[in-house]
Amino acid sequence: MRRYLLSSLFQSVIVLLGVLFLVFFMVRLTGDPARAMLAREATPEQVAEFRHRMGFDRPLVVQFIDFASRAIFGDFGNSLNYRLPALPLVLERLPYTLYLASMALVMAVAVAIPLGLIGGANPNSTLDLIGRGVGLLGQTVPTFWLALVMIVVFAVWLRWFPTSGSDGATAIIMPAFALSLGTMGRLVRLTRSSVLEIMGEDYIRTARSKGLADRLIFFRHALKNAAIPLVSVTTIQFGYMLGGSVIIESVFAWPGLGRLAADSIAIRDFPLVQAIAFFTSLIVIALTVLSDLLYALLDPRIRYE
Amino acid sequence: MNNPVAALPQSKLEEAPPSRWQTFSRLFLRDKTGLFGLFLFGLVVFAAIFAPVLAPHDPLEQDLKVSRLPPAWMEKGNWDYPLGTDKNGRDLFSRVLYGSRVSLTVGFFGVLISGGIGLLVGLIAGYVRGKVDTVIMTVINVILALPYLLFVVVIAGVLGRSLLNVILIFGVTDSPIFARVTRGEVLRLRESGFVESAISIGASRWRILFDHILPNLIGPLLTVATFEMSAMIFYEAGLGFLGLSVPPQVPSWGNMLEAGRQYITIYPWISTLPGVAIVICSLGMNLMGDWLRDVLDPRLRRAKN
Repeated sequence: MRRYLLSSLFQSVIVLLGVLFLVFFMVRLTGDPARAMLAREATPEQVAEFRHRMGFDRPLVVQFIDFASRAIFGDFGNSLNYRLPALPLVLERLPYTLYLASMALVMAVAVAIPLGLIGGANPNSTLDLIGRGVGLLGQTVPTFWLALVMIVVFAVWLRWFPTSGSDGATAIIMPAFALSLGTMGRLVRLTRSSVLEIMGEDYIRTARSKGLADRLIFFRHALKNAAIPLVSVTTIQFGYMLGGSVIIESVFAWPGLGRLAADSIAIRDFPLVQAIAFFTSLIVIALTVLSDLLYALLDPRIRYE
Repeated sequence: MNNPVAALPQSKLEEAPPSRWQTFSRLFLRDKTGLFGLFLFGLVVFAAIFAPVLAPHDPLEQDLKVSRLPPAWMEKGNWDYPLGTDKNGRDLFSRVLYGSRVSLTVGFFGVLISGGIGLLVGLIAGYVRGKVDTVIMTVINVILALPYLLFVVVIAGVLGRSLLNVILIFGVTDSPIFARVTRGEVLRLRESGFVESAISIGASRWRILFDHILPNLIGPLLTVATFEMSAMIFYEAGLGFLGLSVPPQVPSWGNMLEAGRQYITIYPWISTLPGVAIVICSLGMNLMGDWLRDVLDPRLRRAKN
């Protein structure tokens, strides 16, 4: 088990380096970060001056080492727009995004897991059909479109929720639901198919032949084994939601990281964008390590290795 | 007398086993949802090919006299503009028809590029194995662990709006999915009986690759391609929605959603109706993908029977 966890930690260090590399080169894809960051109207002199000020005229290797060694300590330079260090700006918005993504995850899990479990144990029942419908909707309805339709129906026509913003306790409901739909669908499908598969396994047949009650078989044997893949998928989905928040937060004017990212891209504030991308990835990496740990605790095959 | 073959009716012996195509079409026709998916997808392809014939108006033609007209079935609607018009008086129906061209182009070429890169990388990883495989898989896991949408949005923001950029972005960033599937299948096929037999009778590496491995990759890759094409169409619309996809004057579903977004509370049809086209397209592709997976994966086929 110790070896398993060490290799998980080692991998996350590699992922971290990979992320640094990507975040660094992302803004250099056109070859000239100074041009990418300045408005189109900038004169060649302004571009040259900016290039020198930002250190873009140094060799790439030097730039990368400088960038990486600063980034490790949370220094991403100043936001071009706010003229403030990027990291505090990111941290200020972070709680909003974490709140939104957690709510969305809770909604997705609360709907998907029961539907998937019941559907998998009773294929073709009414609840199974509902579950499969949710699974299909999650795959085929674009979140940003759902968000717009929800605004029209629930905010404009029915006036149940505010159209946008984060004021009041109900403001979270629409953005969280829109963000959760894709994950909800994926979790229903996964839960259902893993329960279906497990119900056909030998150990379930053994339990049946021992005369165990269906209910007991389901809760003691099927549920526990179905939970194992769900743990890792759920953490991956959380990372997915952090990415998806770029669009959803923009639709609902939710003051989180996603909207900050979309706004900063629009005005070419790339130092801030780099900070957001790195920080969001850091959260995802931390979650992956956590899910590896949970995996080890849940699956005896890893625990006793 | 005891010969079991002689006991069979003559007709049974002469009857050729169903060809691959026959099994294929029989399984296909049996699955009604798969047919429905094909129908929906066919509708989108039809719209894309015959857009110039079907469209009642030039998708770029502006006529401010008819700006923000509601759809025909609503009050003040007009059958000259079946789905209404946008703020510049452009016909939404014609723009939706032409929009399918952008979506299908991005999806098709995006999948072609990512499938090509993924196939090559996956073959190398699965066939060479060892350290090469470890390095490739580490890189793939780094990319797949990232908050995907955030990175795609940032890269699109750096590169600027163009159809080619969008195709390249999806073609490159989506290739790890294809690489992972290819590698997994190659590893599985290598251990299979027929590859072992081929090796034992002295078949060359290339012969095994072209005669035994590649043909067996078509099924799984085609299934993944269907889902990934649908995902790309989704993400392209998402980029368009943030104003980061094809140039603003190009009629694409994402651009239409973006253009109508600010009027969502007053003229809701401008940005909600194009979304229906996205739902039809992705519903069709997902139903087709589910069906392809069932038909092309013999293990699932057996389980179903």
